[in-house]
Amino acid sequence: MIRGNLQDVALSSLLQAMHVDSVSGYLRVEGGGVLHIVDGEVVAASTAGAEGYEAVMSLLARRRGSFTFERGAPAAAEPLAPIMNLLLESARLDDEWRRVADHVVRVVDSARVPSDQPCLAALLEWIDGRRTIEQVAHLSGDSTTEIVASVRLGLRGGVLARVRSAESAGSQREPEPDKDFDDLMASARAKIREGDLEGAARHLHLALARRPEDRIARQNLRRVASLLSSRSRRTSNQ
Amino acid sequence: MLLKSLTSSSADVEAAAIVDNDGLMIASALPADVEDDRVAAMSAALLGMSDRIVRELGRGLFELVMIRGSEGYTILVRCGPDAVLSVLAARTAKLGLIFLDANRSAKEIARLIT
Repeated sequence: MIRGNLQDVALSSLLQAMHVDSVSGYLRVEGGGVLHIVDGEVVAASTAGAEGYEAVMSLLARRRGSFTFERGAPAAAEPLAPIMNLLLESARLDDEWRRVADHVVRVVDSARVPSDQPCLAALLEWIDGRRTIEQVAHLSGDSTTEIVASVRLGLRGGVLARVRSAESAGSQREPEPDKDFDDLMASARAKIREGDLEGAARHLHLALARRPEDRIARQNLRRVASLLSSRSRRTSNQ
Repeated sequence: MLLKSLTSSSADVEAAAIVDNDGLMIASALPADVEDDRVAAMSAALLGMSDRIVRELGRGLFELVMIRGSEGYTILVRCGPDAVLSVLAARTAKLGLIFLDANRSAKEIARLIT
């Protein structure tokens, strides 16, 4: 059994090493993802929201969380794709993510969301014309692969439009980037008490940018996301 | 530091967390297999209900609530107006000592966060 953290070892490096050694077994990633590996090739994969190739891309996009590898004998099957193809495609998606992560988009016409795109439909809940795509990804909990694909689809289909950087910068003047972690956490809580959930989420994102693994900050952000979601549901019911 | 000292004061204290009225974790000493979200959400729910019961039945201000399950105890102690200390203890815990430690910690936490 091998255990580790994706912050220390990237999944792509692990897969390469397993490919070289032609090992077989189950590679499990925190949050419900599993890869079935036979003789160093990925023959099956699943996450909470995807199966097969999509699941591999989603898992390769993860940069945090623990993993375990246990030797075993998964059912033999054709590889989902040659390992180098998987890694190259993942690297391409990663580049694409880096390009769009700090972009800001707004919803132009939610009625244009295709009915077979539930991920894009769900994403609209978090897009407010001020959050960056990275912040939207944090709030939605979807993988970066799904987010990139959905945003691209939304832009192409007239559901979303890019917000120019000047506009988004104007709407995100606060908080100051040099505030330290504890100040940001305290100000986020103060904003929640004032009812400013969006402001709280912004502060928590900045706090997490300083300490990405902080358990409390992550819980607080999930809680704020849940409060925002409840508020949005209440508003739409009225 | 206070929570670590509370959890290390007795092997029967399995986890402790400070949660605010809105269900946000302020600090925690939880084992890896205990979900932060679950502890925070349940603590906030229990606090809301306890506050209401105490108020509706004219029992003054909420101070402490304990729930005994077949596998152990959940204890909530008010620490200041905006937060509670949530303690998970084993079935074999000596409650007198746990209450003593939890109350002492809650007072200190209240002093620090208000």
